Amino acid sequence: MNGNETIEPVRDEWLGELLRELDVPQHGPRFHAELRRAVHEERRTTRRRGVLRWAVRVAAVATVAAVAIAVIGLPRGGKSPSLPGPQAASAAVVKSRIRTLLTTLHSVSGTLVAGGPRENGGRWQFALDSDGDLRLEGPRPGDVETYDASTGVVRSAEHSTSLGGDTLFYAERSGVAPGPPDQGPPTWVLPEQYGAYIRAALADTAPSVRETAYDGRPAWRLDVDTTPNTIVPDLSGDHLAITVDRATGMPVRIVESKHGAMLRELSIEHLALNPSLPASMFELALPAGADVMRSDDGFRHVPLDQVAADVGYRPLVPSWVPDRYRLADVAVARQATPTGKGGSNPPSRMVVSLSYRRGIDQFVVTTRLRGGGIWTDPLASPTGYTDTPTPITVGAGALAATDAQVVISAHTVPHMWTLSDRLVVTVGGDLTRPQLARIADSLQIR
Amino acid sequence: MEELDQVALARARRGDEGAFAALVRHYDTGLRRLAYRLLGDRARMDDALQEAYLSAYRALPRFRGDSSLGTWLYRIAYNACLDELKRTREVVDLESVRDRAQADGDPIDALSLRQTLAAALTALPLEDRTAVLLVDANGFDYRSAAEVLGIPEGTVASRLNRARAALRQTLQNERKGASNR
Repeated sequence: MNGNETIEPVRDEWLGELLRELDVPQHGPRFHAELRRAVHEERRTTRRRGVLRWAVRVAAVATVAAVAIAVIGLPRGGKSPSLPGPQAASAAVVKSRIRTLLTTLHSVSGTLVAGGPRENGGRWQFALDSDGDLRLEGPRPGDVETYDASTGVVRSAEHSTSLGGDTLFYAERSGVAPGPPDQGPPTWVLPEQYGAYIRAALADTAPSVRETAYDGRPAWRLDVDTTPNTIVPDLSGDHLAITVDRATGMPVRIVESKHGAMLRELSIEHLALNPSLPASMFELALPAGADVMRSDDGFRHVPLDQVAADVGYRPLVPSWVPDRYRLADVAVARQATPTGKGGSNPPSRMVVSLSYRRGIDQFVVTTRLRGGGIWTDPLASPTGYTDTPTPITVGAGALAATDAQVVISAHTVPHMWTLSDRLVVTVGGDLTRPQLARIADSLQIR
Repeated sequence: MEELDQVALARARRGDEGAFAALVRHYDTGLRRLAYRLLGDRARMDDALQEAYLSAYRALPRFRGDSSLGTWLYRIAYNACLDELKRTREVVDLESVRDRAQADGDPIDALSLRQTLAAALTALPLEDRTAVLLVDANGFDYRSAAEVLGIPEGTVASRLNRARAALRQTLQNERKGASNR
């Protein structure tokens, strides 16, 4: 402050009263209805992501890991600082290790731990397998969420503050989509983040890393700068330090900071690769007579040959997929929640979703009727982040000569999307930029 | 500034839509005042506040109470207004604000004063305008206003000094002019 200036009394009441008397218009007639719709949609989306808040925390852990690695690989993204010392590891080694791990895993379990001033020290035990089954427990004893891929149902029990601190809130969600842009099972967050971003970003460039130790084990540390969310900058950092276990290639610790001060620390403890997980682990029996909130996302699992009869058009199916990927699931929905940033796209109608899996990796091909209205990227990054898509022209197949966009972003799944005369088409998941383009070229009407 | 009760806050953080609607009702008048005076147009005010409320709803589960809920919400709304200004790259038209004030049909004496104040407020630099709206109109203390704006308290005081001096001078001139008429 200038030395000649003085701090006046805290408030100028006279001026304040005059200012408060100035005209303040009411909202437009549709404001509250639109806000209610958007909030309701966000609520549904949040529940579909995993119903429970701690499922979002899982996503947060994985997101930070993904962001860190994705940003390294993005030409437009944050820089990779040159780290001092003779212990620079080869990015190719890191890349190779992570690729090997992610494509061969059949199951994973461990404990996610959140710490730092922005967190409250919560712990969540997780277990998932290559079919997409998931179990999460925590942060309070009794909080459980399961996804049984064979039935496509998510069930949960959690302590609800709004119903009283000790009351368990039960929910069951059926008709779950295989994956993005429609809200899939909460299993998506782990393979999406640990797999997709890492592979896509590292395929673009080679980051610099250094050797370190974590929990007594050899590890690599990656430091990257990133751009905070413009809407809620206080909650997002400008720097990430990520530690990757050398033996497994798994990101095990992520520290997010802003202006040098830690915002949050997320880590994985008791990591187990390919543990034996009984099927009963992914089932949650809801108590008889319990008040259960039930919802249906509208997706039905069908054989591929039945799709055309259900949605009124023949599906687009890739004739090429990366090595060892297999078609694991086919689902259709006559109507589904709008996609895009804030659910801003027209309603999704006659959706076809094809899920391909390889280990815990996954990618999803979707089509839906275009209809009227303006479409934007169904897989766009959340509000507050800006994507930089790469335009491509599909070279062959059913979409030949169609303009499309490829997005490798720190804040959303790697993906390609385009509009044909009749359909909105997306390919998103654990794919590199060339793989996205090649799958787009291979799409055929089945 | 009166804060939302903790029960409603806890429910809103859990995603309770009704509790969130109560939160919106609680803070909406002040946020409309800020957004409208920063953006100068109801449609842009609505756009910015839609964005702000939805962002707040998404971020509420992560709200840890490092600052008050009001401060946090105003910060989000302020940033949404800045984004709206960047997006549209429009300059608030002083005359349009004056015209709107005239169209409101206030009694003539009050109308003149309000017109003058509204115009003078609009003529202030954005940062000074925000400071005086937060502190004098919406009841923030310096510390909370500093958190909303992301600046030191001393800078808030400087901006307030400038804003108050400019507004008072304008209002005094208006009164002198009225007494001479």
